[in-house]
Amino acid sequence: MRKFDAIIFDFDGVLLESEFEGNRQLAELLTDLGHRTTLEEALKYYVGLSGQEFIAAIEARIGVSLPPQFHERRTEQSVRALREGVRAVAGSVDFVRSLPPELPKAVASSSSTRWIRGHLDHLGLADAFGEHVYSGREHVERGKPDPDLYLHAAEQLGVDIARSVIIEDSEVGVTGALASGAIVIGLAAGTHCLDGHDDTLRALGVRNIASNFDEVRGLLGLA
Amino acid sequence: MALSIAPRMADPATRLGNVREQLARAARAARRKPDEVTLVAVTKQRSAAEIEPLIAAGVTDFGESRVQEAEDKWPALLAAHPGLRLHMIGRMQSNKAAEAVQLFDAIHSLDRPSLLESLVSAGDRAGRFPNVYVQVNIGAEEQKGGVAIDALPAFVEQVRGSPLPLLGLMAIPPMGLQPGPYFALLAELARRHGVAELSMGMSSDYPTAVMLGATVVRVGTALFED
Repeated sequence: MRKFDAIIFDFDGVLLESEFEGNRQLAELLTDLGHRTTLEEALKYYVGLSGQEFIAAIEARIGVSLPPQFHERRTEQSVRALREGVRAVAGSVDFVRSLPPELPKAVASSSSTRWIRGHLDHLGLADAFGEHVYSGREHVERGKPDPDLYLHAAEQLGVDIARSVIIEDSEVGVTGALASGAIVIGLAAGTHCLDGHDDTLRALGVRNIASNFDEVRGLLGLA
Repeated sequence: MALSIAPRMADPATRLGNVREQLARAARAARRKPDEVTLVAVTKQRSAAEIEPLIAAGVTDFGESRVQEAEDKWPALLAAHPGLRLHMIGRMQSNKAAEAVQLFDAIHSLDRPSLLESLVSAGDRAGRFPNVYVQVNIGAEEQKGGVAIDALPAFVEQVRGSPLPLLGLMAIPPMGLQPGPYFALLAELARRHGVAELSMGMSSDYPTAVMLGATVVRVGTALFED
């Protein structure tokens, strides 16, 4: 792997187990509402979707419109998650803490900065990224999979994107990360990553794949 | 009786279904509607017999890279199946303009003033002007067609001043390199020039192209080979 000057982290699914937790709760909620859904089905069909596409994908599968309770309970789940915290992806907190303090690092996520900062607090990483917490909804016009958010993060860090490492887990994320020209590590460490996720990322052109943070260390020569 | 263990070749409809599924998945992942993306089936070096099953399965857009080959193959197919659209996607010689304006609905490889002039005069004579995409030499490769990025603004203006409807931009990223940065750059150039359509992405990289904004993908191999 090329030499690097900075690390940019995706958030949900890379540092935080929110992809898994969110889909576990989604499966429960749909089942409660009379549409039996397993965790595996939720992960397979709904991961990475948001907004109208997310709702449309669920409604297409269950064959009816989602009732108002669905939306109310989703909001409750999200509020509770932010209040109570969600567990970290195994090894992620130690990894971030073990990095040299002077190494430029950022979070670049599609979630809101409120969500990211709230959870960084729960994880005990409130200060790890300083000002460098960037949201695809707040800091750029076009979020992932466009590369703009990563380019923005690198610019703010004062580093060359071609000498920045991006750690990403989702198809949308790695597509944007590769398009930015950065060095990309596809991470399949989160519990939400089903068998074959590494192959999916490879098919999109990711050459460096890690299945846990020890392997990330190895790829980066930090072991 | 011996059981055959030879893997069965997928049929064209199955391969088409796979490509459409991948395409829809990529579009949804990027919060786009799958029907915003046109699949152009690239049929160069494919016979009418190989093309017919795709027409039967609902493909409406086809791409060829040589005018002569398209002329041999397509008039009969187009006559038999009204409503199909034919796209010229290969490097084009100016002396084929007369045939091209008659046969093609869209030309994706418009990349120089001399070709523009030939297409305009051929269109005048035929009373038919195909839609055009300006091909950009996105990786600044000597051996590849396409207008250089710094010559693009002037050429786009020139095309806009012609009777050929300008739909968008087309590019082929350099072989062996990550295509994403080139797709993202082409999308940025399209925004800068105010054109809506992006013809980018082939068999090996169309999901990436769709996530980065392709509105037309040109897929051949994935439709014909396992």
